[in-house]
Amino acid sequence: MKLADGLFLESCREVAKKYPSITYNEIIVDNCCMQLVAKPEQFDVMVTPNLYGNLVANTAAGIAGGTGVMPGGNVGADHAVFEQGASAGNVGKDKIVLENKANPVALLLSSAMMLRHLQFPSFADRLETAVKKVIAEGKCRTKDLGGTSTTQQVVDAVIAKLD
Amino acid sequence: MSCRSLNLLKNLARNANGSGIQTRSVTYMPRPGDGAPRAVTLIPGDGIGPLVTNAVEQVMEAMHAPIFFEKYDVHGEMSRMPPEVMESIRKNKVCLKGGLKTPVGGGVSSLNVQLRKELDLFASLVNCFNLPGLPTRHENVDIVVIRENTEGEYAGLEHEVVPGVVESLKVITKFCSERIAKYAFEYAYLNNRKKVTAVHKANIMKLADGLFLESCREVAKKYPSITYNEIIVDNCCMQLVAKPEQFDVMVTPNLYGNLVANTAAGIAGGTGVMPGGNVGADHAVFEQGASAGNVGKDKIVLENKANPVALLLSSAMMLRHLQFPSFADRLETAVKKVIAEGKCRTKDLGGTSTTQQVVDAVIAKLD
Repeated sequence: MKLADGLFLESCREVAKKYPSITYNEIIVDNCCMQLVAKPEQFDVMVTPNLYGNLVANTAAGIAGGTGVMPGGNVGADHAVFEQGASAGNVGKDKIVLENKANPVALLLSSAMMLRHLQFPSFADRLETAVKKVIAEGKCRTKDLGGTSTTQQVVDAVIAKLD
Repeated sequence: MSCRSLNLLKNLARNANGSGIQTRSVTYMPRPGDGAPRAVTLIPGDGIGPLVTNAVEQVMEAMHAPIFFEKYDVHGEMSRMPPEVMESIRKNKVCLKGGLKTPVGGGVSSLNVQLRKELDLFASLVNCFNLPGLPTRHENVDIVVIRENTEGEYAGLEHEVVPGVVESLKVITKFCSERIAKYAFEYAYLNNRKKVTAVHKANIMKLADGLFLESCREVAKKYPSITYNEIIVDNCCMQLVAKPEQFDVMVTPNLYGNLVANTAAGIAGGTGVMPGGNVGADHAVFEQGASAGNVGKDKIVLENKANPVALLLSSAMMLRHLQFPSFADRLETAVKKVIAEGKCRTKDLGGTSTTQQVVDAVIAKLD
């Protein structure tokens, strides 16, 4: 898509010139999907147009641990909306809702990003540290991470680990 | 039974199984004249293309396969496919090609896309599967991606409305959606596949992807024994990296197919080993399944370390297409034995062999 994606690339290149200390490179989206599943460590920040970003984000989320744990948000000039990072499948299955087994980690980490956005870094750090400790311990995990805990159990564990 | 003959029998059984790969036990009955050599157009192309097509030539020669190649020199910077090449493909009906480098930006349209459109090769097929001896994070992956090859986001219809604003048209037609759906279900039916999954983003592109889905649903009704389901493309990408065993045949519009095929190829072992081809009503062009990166890095070309496996397996598909199943089976079995043994692998599979070493190993394993 020489004109459309070409315009996107031109814009990226112009901005890249203003940040000489940051490496800039380009990758065609099909090769990108393949590299993501073969060697994801090579990527750092990725800037994409709308559709490719949707697909790349979901693929990368799947690679790195699943959509249940990746934080994210949307931001504009005046406002910000924080939500689960990769929303593949969007609202989850009914069964997960009925059994209260939804993974709260993604939204907890997104809310930590929100706290930093609101300039409450210390609270953000406490929240994130507690969540990471719970995941690292491995005792309290929802179904998508291979465990059997309910949402409430994960919440209680996080609260217990807050300092 | 004496001790000695028991050991002999055990040895026989062990040798017959070898590395666990079956040898042919089915005999095909040809019609008189089926062995007449067929002409196949060969386009080595750019980058690793000449290396891997040469690998195929060598193996075909070693097998004395009843095909002969009409080779043409084509490069990605050319503005069009030379007419004599098109004529050759139209005459032979079958073509084998390496990659043609597509320039990014600029006004030159991709020769790969041109070829597909001119010959109306409306279906692209990529088979992504685990090869024995090449373990990946996931097992039991065997996905066939059937991708609409002529329209969609690749319609090539872009224009600059005002400076700084570009419109790109994605065109989806009932005609093209229907025929790709028919091909996918027919493929599944003829190859004993159980499930066809349609990949879409109809929640956003309600009309375009919606039309694609409608066509798939209509065709699905005619194949009640094949399970049909649909999946949104972002969820699909995530499922592919989490649980690829759930997929069987996937039918997709043009762009999603490109991405899904490359992701699936990466999951199952890499683009160096996945076979594929493009087919239309009258012609077929076989090439490496997933062409991510298209023609490979210059370094691989210089060091002669391109992986010929993908194109070798594609040429086996081509031999079946030409109705030479026995040669196809011999070729595929030899390639799979080489991979399973693990001694001779190119860099992308974690080894240090050159293309030529892999070719020699395959030829040595031909029976």
